[in-house]
Amino acid sequence: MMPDHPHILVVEDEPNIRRFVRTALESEACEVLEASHCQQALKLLKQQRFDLLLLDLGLPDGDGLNLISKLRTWSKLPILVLSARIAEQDKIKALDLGADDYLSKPFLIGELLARVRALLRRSQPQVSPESHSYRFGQIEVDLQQRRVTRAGEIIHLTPIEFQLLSLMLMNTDRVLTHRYLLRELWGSTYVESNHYLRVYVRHLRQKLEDDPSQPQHFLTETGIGYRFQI
Amino acid sequence: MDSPLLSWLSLDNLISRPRWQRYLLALLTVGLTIVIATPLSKHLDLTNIVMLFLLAVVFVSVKLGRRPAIVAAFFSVLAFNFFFVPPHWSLEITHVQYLITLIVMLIVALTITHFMSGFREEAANAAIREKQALELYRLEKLAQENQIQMAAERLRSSILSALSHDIRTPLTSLSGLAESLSLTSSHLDNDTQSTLTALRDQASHLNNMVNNLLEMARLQAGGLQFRKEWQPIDEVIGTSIKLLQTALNQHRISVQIPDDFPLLEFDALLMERVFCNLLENAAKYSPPHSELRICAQLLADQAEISICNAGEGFPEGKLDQVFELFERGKHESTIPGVGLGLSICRAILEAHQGSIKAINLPTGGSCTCFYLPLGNPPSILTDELSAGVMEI
Repeated sequence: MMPDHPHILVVEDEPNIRRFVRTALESEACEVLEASHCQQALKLLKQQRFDLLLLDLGLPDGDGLNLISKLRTWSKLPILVLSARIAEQDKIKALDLGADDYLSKPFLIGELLARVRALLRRSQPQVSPESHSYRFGQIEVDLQQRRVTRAGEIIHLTPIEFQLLSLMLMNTDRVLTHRYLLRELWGSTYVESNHYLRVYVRHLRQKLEDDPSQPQHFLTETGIGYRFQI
Repeated sequence: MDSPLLSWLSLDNLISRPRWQRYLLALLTVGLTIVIATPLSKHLDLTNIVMLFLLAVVFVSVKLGRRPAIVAAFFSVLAFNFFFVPPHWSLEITHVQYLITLIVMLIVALTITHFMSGFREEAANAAIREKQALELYRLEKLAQENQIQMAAERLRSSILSALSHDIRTPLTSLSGLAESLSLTSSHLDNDTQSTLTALRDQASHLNNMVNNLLEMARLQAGGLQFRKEWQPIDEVIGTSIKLLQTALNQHRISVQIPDDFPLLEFDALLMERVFCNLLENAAKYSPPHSELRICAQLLADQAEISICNAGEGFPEGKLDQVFELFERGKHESTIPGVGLGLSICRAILEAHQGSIKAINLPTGGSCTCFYLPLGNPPSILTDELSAGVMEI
């Protein structure tokens, strides 16, 4: 479920990119406001309510990363980062500071709209009483009963596999960094043990994906982390 | 000339001999002075004999150090009294003037010893200070060179990332604006529509080429920071296939990797580039709707990953050259590309102590196979045994 006319703030210093992003968002019945630098963006964010923030990291009057950490002190507004930077470290920083997702430039409009829809859907309060059950492909997961089935047949997961699965399900459509997942699953002493995480994700794919080598749900964000998508 | 005896007798570095040797040498020097002075005593005044002994003390204090020199001073006075002061062969002193001679001799000998060892220590300290200064200078120079190199690397990598930002921004506008045209006008004729698609695809091609060029520049600059981590190779294969969705949508793709294939150590982003280039190449040079096969298997001490297509293969006799920079299978071919892709693959694999080769299959089609060392993957304790706990 999406808000009827979601208000989206686009913060980007390149006018041509702002222009086509606005066109694309307006074609989806979004109300778009634009800002070309941090100060302007902060002012708008304090003045009115938005449903989503589209943020370019390299802004002329300061780093988009600063804007994220400032905003996160008072707001849970979903943030989609647009970045032309090749350094994965910047994306990881943005995500660790509280950004929800990122898109590398250049991107296709279809991809942009899919990410925007997913984030807007996520930010809606869950009204369904059965919010602890999920369904993707042939798989059904009941988090409360700790039960995973494929076409009615029980699939055995180890405790850690199940924990990882529930963490990813509860953060559907969000990019979760390696560091975040490792800390949640094994504690802060293991935040450098990426290979553990990778092995468990491989197990989940082998058990839950139709084709583990071309996963449709447990997606890898190379060098950054993982994203679950239904 | 470097016999052990000679080197033992050499007068350099006597000071570093063990203590007992230095005392022995001090006594030997006094003995030698006695031997030399005895035949001369008939022709010389006693005062000149004293000079010979003082000379011996100077020698000992310069060459053997303070304490052997003090010993030499006392023994010189005793020897002088015993052998040369009448009555000979006795320590008895019959005349007061000889007593004064002996006392003055002792004082002079000890004073010489004192000053000499002072000078020597001073000299040794100066030598140490000089050595330290030289060492410090060398260190400083090294640090400076290091700093210059680091600054150069920082500059290089910031130029590359600025370049990549500056190229990607207009590329993003180009493909985005082209795509958004079809969103604004509801009725575009087919020609316009296909022009827009072509614009978007060309922008994406350009982006790929820019990626390759920047990666190559970074690899050749040598300052590239690797993030080698142990990880399953299938993860990168999955992301590469997803990244190339549009380029591969005319082909069937089959991936064969054993479930328990060991982790390999590599930089995921660079390996993704290898797969993207090889897959794109395999698709480009094979007929639509044919199959692309990705297989992984274990050899003795390395992993072999091959990507095969059903195309007409690499030109025979050029199998080794296809990985050279700017080398293309067919010159002036209508298939786009600059021959950068395969050479980057080789550069990346060599940076991982791996290798790559191209082969034509006897049954038709061709493969590019690359090899990565197996190394020693970290052991992973899974909680597989407790899987039953989850059953309800």
